[in-house]
Amino acid sequence: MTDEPRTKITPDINLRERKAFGQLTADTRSAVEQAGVVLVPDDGFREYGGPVFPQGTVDFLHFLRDHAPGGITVEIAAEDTNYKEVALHFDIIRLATLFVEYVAAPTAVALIAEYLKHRLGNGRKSTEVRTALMVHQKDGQREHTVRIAYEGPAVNVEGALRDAVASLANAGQPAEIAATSGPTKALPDTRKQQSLPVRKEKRKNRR
Amino acid sequence: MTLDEIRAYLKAVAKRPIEPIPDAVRAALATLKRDAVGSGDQVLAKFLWCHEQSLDAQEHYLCAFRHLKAGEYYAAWCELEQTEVAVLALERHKESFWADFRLDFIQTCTARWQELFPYRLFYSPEFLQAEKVCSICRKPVLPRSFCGHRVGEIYDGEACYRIVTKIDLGGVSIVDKPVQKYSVLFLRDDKTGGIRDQYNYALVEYPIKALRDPFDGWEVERTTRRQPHSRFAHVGRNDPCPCDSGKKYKKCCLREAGVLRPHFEYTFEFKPPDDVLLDEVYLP
Repeated sequence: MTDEPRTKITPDINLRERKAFGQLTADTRSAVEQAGVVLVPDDGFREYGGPVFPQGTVDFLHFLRDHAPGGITVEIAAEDTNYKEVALHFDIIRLATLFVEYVAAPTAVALIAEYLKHRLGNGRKSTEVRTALMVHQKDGQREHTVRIAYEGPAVNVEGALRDAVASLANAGQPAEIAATSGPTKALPDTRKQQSLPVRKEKRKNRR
Repeated sequence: MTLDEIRAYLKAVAKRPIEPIPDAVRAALATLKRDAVGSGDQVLAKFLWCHEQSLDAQEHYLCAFRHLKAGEYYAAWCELEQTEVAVLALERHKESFWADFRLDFIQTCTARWQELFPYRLFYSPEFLQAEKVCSICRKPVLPRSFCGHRVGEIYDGEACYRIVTKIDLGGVSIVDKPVQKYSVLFLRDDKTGGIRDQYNYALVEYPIKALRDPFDGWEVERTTRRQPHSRFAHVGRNDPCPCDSGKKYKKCCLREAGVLRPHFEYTFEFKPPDDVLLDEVYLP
């Protein structure tokens, strides 16, 4: 049977600072900046250094577009010309990372849950999912982005991500107040160089 | 064959033995579906696809059972995977046929057999997919030029899926939860160069000997039970405990009445043959 659900919240960089964003055309960049939900690629896979998405991302994208509430547009930070997907033939469903403003995070969580329900049906209990939300928060002049990563049974993704998003509001603070919920087993961090460990970040702020 | 006759055949599969005529049923379904598509009746075409898929699921399941009976375990494993795939494709289109054609039973039993197999490690390739096309319209699947066909939906009586036309192999890993279950790790026989099946199939052998028919009901419950120390006489006091706790034998089960080991209790709808009923299986 699958492990307990795990969520992990870590500081992250803003969408505009990501390598993939710099590679977009002006039109796509503009569309991405105005979107409520943006699918964000990983930077490379093994020897390949370009942007890559998990297998099935195009279908995920169009599901989100079909089901997003009115007023929320869904975009992808990629061009057709260099679009590639990675198929890791491990029986875990990997979903593309979603970048959202804090106010749209609950909508993104509901959309992820709806997609998994549509794709897996009753199989949600026995299927594991790995997904992440990048939540952007603005507090006056300060901007912060946190990454909420989830790995666990598909059936628990909605509750776990919802709690994690709520914990951001409860902290009453932006991204530096990062928390880890669930068992301590860490998720693999694909961007170690870009995200600071939580404790170091807290210590830094105290100074 | 009419649609009613096809449905009667698919319903009767659980009331075996019936004369198996899957090829005739498949041909009749293909003809009916062609007519439905020709007349633009998408609802009927989809309904007929569901029947084709149900037939596939039943056939793969029956084939798996035959392989199990013959002791051809890896072949059975592959057929079980095909059964799982066929049933999964149908699940989102579930209607009354699901119960009528015993797909609920097939799905449950397939998963049960799979859990009893000893395969735990599998090869798993990683791919960078550079190009994909839609199975319905053959147009490239790209984020900004989407054909509109949805994976898993039925168009003109065919399921939509993606065809990967260009890949770069990233690597091959060994995993415990593969997408393709058929990629089982086997040893190689140095003398013949062929596959050497190193697995112990005791947990599969027991129920397959007890079952007479693929649609006889059965269940298995996993518990633990202490087995006598005499069975573990070859294990030294300072060796790891045979219960796999990670402790020394002398500091673990040697203090107890026996060694705690997994125990499987099978329940059958129909009484198995007497020689099977008295059987007791001990895993090494």
